[in-house]
Amino acid sequence: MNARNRQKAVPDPGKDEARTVSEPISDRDVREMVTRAQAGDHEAFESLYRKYVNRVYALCLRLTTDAREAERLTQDAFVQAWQKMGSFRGEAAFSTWLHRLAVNTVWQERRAGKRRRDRIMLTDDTAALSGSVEPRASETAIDLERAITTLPERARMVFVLHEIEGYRHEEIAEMMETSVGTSKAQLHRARSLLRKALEQ
Amino acid sequence: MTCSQCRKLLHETGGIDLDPAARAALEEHLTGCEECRRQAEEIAALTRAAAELPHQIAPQRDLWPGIRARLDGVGTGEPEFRTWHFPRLTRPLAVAASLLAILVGTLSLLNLPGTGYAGLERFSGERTIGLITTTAMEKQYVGATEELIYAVAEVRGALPETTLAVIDENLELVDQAIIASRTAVQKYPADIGLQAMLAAAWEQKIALLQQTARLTGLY
Repeated sequence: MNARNRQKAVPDPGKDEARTVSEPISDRDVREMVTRAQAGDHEAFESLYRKYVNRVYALCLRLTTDAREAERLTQDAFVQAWQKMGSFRGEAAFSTWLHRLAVNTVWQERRAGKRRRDRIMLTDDTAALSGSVEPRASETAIDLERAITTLPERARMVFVLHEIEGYRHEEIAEMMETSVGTSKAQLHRARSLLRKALEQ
Repeated sequence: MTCSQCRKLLHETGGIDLDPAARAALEEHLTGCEECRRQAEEIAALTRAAAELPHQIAPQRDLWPGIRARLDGVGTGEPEFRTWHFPRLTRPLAVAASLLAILVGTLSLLNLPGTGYAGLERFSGERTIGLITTTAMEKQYVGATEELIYAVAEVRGALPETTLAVIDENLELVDQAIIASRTAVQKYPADIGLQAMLAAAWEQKIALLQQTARLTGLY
């Protein structure tokens, strides 16, 4: 399918159908699963996957605006997490470590030039991506999600990382291999564009 | 507080976690400026809406089988390390930046027109790179570029998207060159040549921003 004809992925906060059935594990269990996964236990790693896949996928989806690419990058991030489990020392929460690794995976992919750069058409058909597992349904949220997908790539990445994921400019600059000033400027740009888009 | 200072503060902080003096200055300005007040409200609303977006979205299919298939034969003990490398375009970029630095430095010494950005004047005279610390030098570059970045951000909408894309690509390359040079300087702090490279990359960033400002008719 031609990239230009592919729909842009718009997360739909109005739907709460979880297609991936998570098997919840407690935070205390996470530590045990991490230890077992570090020893090579696939089942333990699957438990970690089940717990965190929706967060990682949401991040990848917003950063790429492409469902298939987000799925692939989510898989890449978990494979990398498996490969690097040995380096996780528990200084930060496992979720924080995994999240950052996912951001790096998306960014490195982009840097490698594999990501298609064609702008893709925005359509009204969001059914393919109605996977939010949080029961929030507001027109504002849907409009905002849609507007975020129309942002230029770098502005979108900074907006998502800063405003949704809560990273500081210093962290974003490090992850995106740019300067704090550029990160701030891109956030400024994203906000200006979003304000205009939401006014329409 | 000017409108420009107010908007810079709003965009950087969202008006949150300000020290008492900054908060008082901001509130005083907002009380008397309808346009800044409107912008402050819009930014706050946007920030609230973004924070309320769901943090979990389920993929359309179970991704585990694909992951599981890739785990076999892959160990979990691989230590994480970061290999710093110069991006492939850094070498030509660095050469160009060095030439630019020499040119700018020469113009500055000769006091010729062409480097009229006020921010540059702040650190002209301190350009004997080897005599100043990298940190102090970079602080001034950061300040100078931030002023330009914010000035340009206000008016960049006047430029076509294609031009903006090229500008962003170039700025990103220069940022990469700055990071690579800084890493090298941190490793070999006594190396004057590396310090010069770092300064040259910053100079190129300023030149790019100045050119962008000219394109938007800012000055």
